[in-house]
Amino acid sequence: MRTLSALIASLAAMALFPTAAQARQVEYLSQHPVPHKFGGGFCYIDVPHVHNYMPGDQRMYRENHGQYYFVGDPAPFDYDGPRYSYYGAHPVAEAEIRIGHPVYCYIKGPHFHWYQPPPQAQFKLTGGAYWYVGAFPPAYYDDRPRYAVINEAYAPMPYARPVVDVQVAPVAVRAEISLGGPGWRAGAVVGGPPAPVFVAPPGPAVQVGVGINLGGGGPPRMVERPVFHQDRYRHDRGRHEGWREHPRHGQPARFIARPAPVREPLLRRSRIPGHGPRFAPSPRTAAPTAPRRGPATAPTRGPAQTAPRLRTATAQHSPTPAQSRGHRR
Amino acid sequence: MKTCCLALMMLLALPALPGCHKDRAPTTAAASHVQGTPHTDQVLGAWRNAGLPPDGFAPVQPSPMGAAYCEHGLIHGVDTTVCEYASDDTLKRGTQHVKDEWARVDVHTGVILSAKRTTMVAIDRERREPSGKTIAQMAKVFSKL
Repeated sequence: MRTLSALIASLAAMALFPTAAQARQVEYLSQHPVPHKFGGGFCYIDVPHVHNYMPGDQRMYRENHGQYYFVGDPAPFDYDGPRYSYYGAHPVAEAEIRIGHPVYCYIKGPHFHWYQPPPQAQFKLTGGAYWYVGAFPPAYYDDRPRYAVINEAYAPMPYARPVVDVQVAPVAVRAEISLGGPGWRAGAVVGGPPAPVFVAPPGPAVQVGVGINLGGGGPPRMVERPVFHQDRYRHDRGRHEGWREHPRHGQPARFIARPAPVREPLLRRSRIPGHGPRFAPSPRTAAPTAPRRGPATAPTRGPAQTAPRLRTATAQHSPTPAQSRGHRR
Repeated sequence: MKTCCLALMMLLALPALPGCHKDRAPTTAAASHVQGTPHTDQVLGAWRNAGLPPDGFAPVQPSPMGAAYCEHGLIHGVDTTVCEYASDDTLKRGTQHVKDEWARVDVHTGVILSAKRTTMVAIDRERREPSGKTIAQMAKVFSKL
């Protein structure tokens, strides 16, 4: 009887206070990623709207009076809309209009956004990306410790960043490059060997590599080339020893995903006397001239060797077999 | 026993309490289009021309949320209501009413936009289109009116 009374009382309380059962509505000011537990992907609504979920990672948002604006790179979230390449920090004009005060993107290194900078803004388009060449106000530096955490959010995400030729970076931002960003080391781009990635600057150029880059009069049309900048972070095959430095490597390794050689097997099963089954190179494939674990033969690892104009530069800086073995360790 | 009876009485009395019935927005006697703001058929025509065919749109009688004229239907499965308001004041109240309703019924996605004194309300209650591409297209067309 007591249980029944309690049940009835709780039902009555729920009916009397309906606001307690109201769902949380969160207002988004523009496009944004959908959290994994709500299906993942990307929401393309670019006007203020509400959802019944909070942002997946608040480090990628600016919050203003309960309204959220996504300031991150949409590329890792299955975004398939227009994308423009940027390098380094810059003002976000669209967010400024929506929020009402200056907003800055603090992503280091190359990244994408869905918007072009406004024509009057001080951006320079070179090397395949927009670089902010204007001066930052004190507010930018004041907020940097708070908002630069966005780089921590993106660091472990293995996704294809824009391919940018940092050698033609505007002079005004060269110092910024030396500070590095996700996927870049100072030695690789400032005074060091050429980075084994390249995008032709805008102009009458057609470059065919792993991807196709068609230069033109306007902003470059970037055909995505899956360059995975994983020189600092890579999976350690279950050992999970955390972040590791590779002091023996003078230059960062660039890993470029390449299509699997599906026409013929690279390896065939063979039996070596006295041992268990082993794999050996298929007789149909050419015998490797470089060490087997070197970047020249491994199909999915090693510096880019796709664009012909880069081969020379890349080969000069290919790791020695000893380095390769050390890298593996 | 006395507690039980008391609770039962409270439950029975609930419907009589104010605020526990469905919201009844002030209604207009006769639904008619409002001059000086895009008409509902104009909005539907713009969507149709943009490849967003309206499906099953019909006038809502009486017009909800203090609007003078409303039509409700589907655009690519998205629950859509287009309303015309007679004044800025009723528009403001109607907009707030819509937002309150969203919280009450826990919509997955909700958008309300206004062009002059005409509003478009698009709701995805059941997460049919998490990417919101249809709503984004609708909003783009509506904003140009």
